[in-house]
Amino acid sequence: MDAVLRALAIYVVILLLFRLTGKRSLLQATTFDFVLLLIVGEATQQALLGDDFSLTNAVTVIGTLIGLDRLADYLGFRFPRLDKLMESTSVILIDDGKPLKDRMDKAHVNEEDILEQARQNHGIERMDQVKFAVLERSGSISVIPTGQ
Amino acid sequence: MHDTEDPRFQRREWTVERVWWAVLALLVVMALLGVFSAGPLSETTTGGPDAGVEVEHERFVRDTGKSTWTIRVQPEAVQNQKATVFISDELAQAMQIQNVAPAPSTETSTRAGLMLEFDAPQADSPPVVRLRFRPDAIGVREGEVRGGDLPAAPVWMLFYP
Repeated sequence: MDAVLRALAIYVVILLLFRLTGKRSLLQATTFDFVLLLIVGEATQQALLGDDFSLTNAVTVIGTLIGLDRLADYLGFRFPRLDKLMESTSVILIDDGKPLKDRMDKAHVNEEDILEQARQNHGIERMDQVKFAVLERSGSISVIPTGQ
Repeated sequence: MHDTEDPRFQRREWTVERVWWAVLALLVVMALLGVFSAGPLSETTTGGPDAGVEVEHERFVRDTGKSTWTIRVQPEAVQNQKATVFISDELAQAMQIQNVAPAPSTETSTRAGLMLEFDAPQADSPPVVRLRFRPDAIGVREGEVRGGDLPAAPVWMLFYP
């Protein structure tokens, strides 16, 4: 019982923490972000497993976490408003070639971030080649080049 | 594009997936109920007025986890201001005892099991012993706990890996 409740508590706390911190919190996984993620995992471990080193405890905790994630996914699918609360919505940053400055400022995305994505995925060099740029719910930036 | 699809396989996968989700949900409910350690289905009391002790314990524990017994010695089991609690070897071997409160005045380990003796100055309020331990076995263990010379309380426990 305690293992399930512990996993539930940690799930909710992590969900809240990352959701409130914003989309792009750990997305641009630089080496630093990766190490930070490891430390988060390390810090969570004790709270999750407590003083119990048994296999059964580990399996119970993992099963509960995966089950919760599945359940959250289903609830999001079933209730779109809840989905928006948990997963946010996508934001258009460049609309038909026109940068929407206020939105970019709010989301802390600059033109360089968009160009980086454009270079990596489409081999685009200049801003005027970008027709649409969308900040997705996951925190990644999708770029649609002009002439498509 | 359609060559990459295998609708029959995909349908089967979806079915298996849904069965697995049900199993997963069932496992979590079982864990909540205490089938895999702490929880209402796990907590049990053995012994009582007919025996020398009443033992409150968890039926299901996990190897290298933790568990606590509450042993209530019956007044009839107190002799000469001493209360003895005996734990049979099958159980004693499976318990890494970490703490006994109150502390026993003597501890004796024999082939038969572990004997703990407590001071009991007042015969009408015999000691309530809390024994904290780390389970150290896998599988089913059956044994008994005795208070004084009175009939024993049987204990059945399942140790998960």
